[in-house]
Amino acid sequence: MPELNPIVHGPLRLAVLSLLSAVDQADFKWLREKTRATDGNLGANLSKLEQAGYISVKKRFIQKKPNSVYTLTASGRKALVDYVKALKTLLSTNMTNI
Amino acid sequence: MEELENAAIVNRLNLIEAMMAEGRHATQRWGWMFLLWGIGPLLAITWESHWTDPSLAWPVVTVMCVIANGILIKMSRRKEGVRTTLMRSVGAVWASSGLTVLLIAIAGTLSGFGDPRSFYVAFFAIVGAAHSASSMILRWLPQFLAAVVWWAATAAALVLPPGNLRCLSVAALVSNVIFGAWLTYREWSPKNE
Repeated sequence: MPELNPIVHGPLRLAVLSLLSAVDQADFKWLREKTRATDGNLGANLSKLEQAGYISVKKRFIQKKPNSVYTLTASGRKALVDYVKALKTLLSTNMTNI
Repeated sequence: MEELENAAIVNRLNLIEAMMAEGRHATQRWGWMFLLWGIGPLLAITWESHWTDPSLAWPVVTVMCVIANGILIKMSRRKEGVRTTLMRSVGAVWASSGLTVLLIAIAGTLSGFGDPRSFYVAFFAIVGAAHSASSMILRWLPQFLAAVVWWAATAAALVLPPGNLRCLSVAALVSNVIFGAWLTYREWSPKNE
């Protein structure tokens, strides 16, 4: 049985990684809009992904307001790919066992 | 990790797919750029023909357009909050084309070998190629029709008498303004929000 990466497994973190895998970079506001998460929840999950080295953040100020821009790192992309592979393996194993 | 039911696995895979689709469909508003680079040169042509200090027309208008372009790009990037490879590709096509036209114009003027017909032919062909490349990247037919208009202008520039080249240029630029106005309307209409 393949192990599912617990960091990627969280639905919001998975959504963020998937979104970032399809773009070059995205800011906090765009990610919040797409995931429909609250500021606190999204912020906490982004921190976890950043600590794991799956995303990188660039903080800047736009008209005196903080703006964080997130990018998927190479290890984040690999983690997402591995997670999808693991899910597919699980699915095919479950189907075989039926 | 607890064992996952098939439905839960499928839900996860659907979530990944839906989020990736959201990312891929992130769009940028480009209409203003065609308006700017249509109206700017038209203004320069009008200045050159009817107003004082005609030699300043192109340098002043081009610098103003480049500054406005930079400011508007920065503003739109901040507003959209996302950058995609698609946006970068289209941006690269237009930036490279613009720089090429600028280089030909400056080099032609400074060297004194700038033949107006050659410049018009190169200018129309480069803009046509940029429209075509954008349309292929975005898989968007209306922009390919804009490319056809510019390529038709390229062919016309090779056969028309020199006195008609400016009129041809005005017609091509007006087509760019119309395309930009239509695109801007489309981008800002509520159904596309």
